[in-house]
Amino acid sequence: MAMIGKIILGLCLLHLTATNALAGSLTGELDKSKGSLHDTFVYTLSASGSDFGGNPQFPKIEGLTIQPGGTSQNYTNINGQASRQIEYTFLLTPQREGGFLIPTLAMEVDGQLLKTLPLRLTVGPAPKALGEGDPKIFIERTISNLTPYVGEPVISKVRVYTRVRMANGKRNNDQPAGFDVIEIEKQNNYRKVFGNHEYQVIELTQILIPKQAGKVVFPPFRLEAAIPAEQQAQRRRRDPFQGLLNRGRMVRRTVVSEPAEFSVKALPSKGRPQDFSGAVGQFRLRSSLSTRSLKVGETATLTLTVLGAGTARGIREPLVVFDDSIKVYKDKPAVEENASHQGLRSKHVYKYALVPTKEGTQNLKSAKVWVFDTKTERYHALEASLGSLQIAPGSGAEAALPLSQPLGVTKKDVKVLGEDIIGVHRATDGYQSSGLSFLDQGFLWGFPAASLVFCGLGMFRRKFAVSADERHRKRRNSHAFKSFKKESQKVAHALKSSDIELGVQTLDRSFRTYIGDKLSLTGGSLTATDLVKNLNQIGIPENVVGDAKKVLDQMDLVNYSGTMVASDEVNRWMVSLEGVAKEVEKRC
Amino acid sequence: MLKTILGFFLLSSVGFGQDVSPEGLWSKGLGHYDRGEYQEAVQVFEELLVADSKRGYVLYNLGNAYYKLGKNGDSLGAYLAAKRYLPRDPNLKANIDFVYKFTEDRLGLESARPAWTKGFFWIDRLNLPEQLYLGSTVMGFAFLVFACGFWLKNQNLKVFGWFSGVCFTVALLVFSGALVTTNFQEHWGAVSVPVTDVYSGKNTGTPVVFKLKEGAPVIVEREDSNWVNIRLSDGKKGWIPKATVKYYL
Repeated sequence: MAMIGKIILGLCLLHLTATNALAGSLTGELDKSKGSLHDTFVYTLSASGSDFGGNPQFPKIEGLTIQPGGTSQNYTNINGQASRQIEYTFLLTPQREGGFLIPTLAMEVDGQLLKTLPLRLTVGPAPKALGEGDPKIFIERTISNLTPYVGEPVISKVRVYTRVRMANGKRNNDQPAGFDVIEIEKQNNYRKVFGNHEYQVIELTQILIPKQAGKVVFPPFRLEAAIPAEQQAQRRRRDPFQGLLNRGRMVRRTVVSEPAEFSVKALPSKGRPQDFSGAVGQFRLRSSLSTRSLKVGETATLTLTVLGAGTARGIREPLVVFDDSIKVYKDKPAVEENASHQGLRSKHVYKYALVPTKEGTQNLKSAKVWVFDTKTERYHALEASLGSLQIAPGSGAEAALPLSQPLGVTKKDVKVLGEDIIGVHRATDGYQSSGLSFLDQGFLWGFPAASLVFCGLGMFRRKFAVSADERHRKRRNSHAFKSFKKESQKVAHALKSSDIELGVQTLDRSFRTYIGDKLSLTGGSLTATDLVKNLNQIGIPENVVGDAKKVLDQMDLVNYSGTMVASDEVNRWMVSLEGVAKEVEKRC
Repeated sequence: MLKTILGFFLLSSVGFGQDVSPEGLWSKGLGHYDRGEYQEAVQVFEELLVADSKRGYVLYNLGNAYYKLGKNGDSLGAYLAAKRYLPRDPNLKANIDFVYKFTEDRLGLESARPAWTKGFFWIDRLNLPEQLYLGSTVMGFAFLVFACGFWLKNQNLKVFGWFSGVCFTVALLVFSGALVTTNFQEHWGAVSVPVTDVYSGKNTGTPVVFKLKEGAPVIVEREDSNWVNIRLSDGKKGWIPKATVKYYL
């Protein structure tokens, strides 16, 4: 009986548990309640029940960036009653140190409005030393000197340590005020082990050159990048499939460095020489001479080089005094600044062409440059001995030249060692454009076009003139026989009137005109020989041509020697010439 | 009230008194240069170039002003741009040689045009407008001679034809030279910063192919937002930030 009672009690308890398990619930949980600025906190809101009234909204909290981290759910079936559990993940990234209160979150589950308990979150400062904590990504900034002198280069290095994949990195570019900044564009990439982890390190370097004394705050370096969400949520992972679901999803994360404060010192006025060159750092002065033995009028090149670590911006040239017997031509100084991850090195090269004008040994005085050494914090004079020149007598012409002229310096040498450029152009219309104006374009198109038109007109004119000639020729050709016949009637009429001389003249002229018109002959009078030649050319039979020539010869005798002829004879000539004309008409 | 009106008029008269015509700016720039105010001279000459960048003498003077400021790269960039418009100017040539000797890279200023274009030997001695003028004049002359053959009723048109044919061929050659100048125009510039990296692409994430120092002469191939595609006289190519090179298109 007692056994039966225990079983019933057990069943009742089981039923009560099952009933409780099937009732709706809502809980909120943080993966950790304390952390640093480098950490991301994971808040998981778990709801279980069979019916949910919409997705929960995470309230805005000042100083926290909240991003949704995904949702997961699973189904259970207890005693034939189905139930569901949903987990909403939120990623909380602190923007400042201090305490945060996460208020209650409310959600409707199975028709009831359920609330979570409020939670407290404490955010401490970012780890300062490497290896402190266990961050996936963090930044370290080192500055070589926080109390530099004005003009003393400072190396600022930012190292981004990461052991997760990072994408779309975006950095701020805030620079300290009152500094010249030289960015070293090539970044250093290497790997470094801290604790149990190996980090990929990206090293960014800047050279900062303070321009004025005083306190200056260097804003913190801030990097915003996307990193895999899986890395953030793994501590709170309950569901073995959650990792798979989160794989490949990226979340944005911001990491910042500490700000830095510079206290820039002015260069000390005590002990500052009047001839201070302006160079700040550790420098050396080197000198070299191209030759120490030369003749009067020849050139020796003296090179002075100020080089070292530091900036030489605005540096004055070295102090060097030459004897009056040496003509000196200064070249423009060559300046070179080389900024690297190791710092800033600069080099100033000064060249002097020395042309001695007197023979003998010439002792050159030393060259001197005053610099401020930042290590000893004192002004130092850099000196370089220049030695001496052995000067032999020059050739006669050079030695005889007056001292005011640069002796022995060839035109080429002057060009190379010249001190200045040729002056500006001063033409009053010097501002005019070298491009093409509207007028220019007018000429460029207009002149050839006008010439072309002129050419075209000439062609047209010529063509027109040729056509007119041709028409005239054709007209003459077609009217030739008709005119000849008309003239023949005049001949007949003259013969009837017994004016034989007129008849012969008319016949002679009309026949020659006919042949000229028919054969398009131009120019002077048509001789009998020309006539025979032209008639032969058009294929008139020889006997006909011979008769025609004979008639023409006889007419010439009548016309020019006054030979008498009977009218019958003239009629016969006329018939003969008409026969020739008919033969011509057949062929032309 | 009276003072306000008077002040307004005074201010207006000052404003209207500013001569912003090209002639005025030219005189102003020369004035600054003569007084040793090179930075102001640069500003005025640059202003003149904004309206029209084809002002050869302005570019020349700008190069001088930059040189006086110690900006050899900017100076060489302006001189090289001026050379396009003043190819035979002896002063410009002397100043280019002078400033060029301060450059460390000494990359050369020889044209990198294709070899076949060397046949058009005159295009380096004449600027584009001069070539067009020459071509147009010779071509117009060719037509004119040919036209004379018609108008003078010369029976022997052949002589005119030959003569104008020669002129026509010369004109065509000159125009071809102008086409070569236009299509293979080299816009020279110079690096204006102490040292700059030249990248294989137009962002700093791409590999650095080589470095150039101040004054290194480069041929600007094209611009793309803040980047410039450059070519050296030996044919090497790359991209550099626009702000690191001085050139005038």
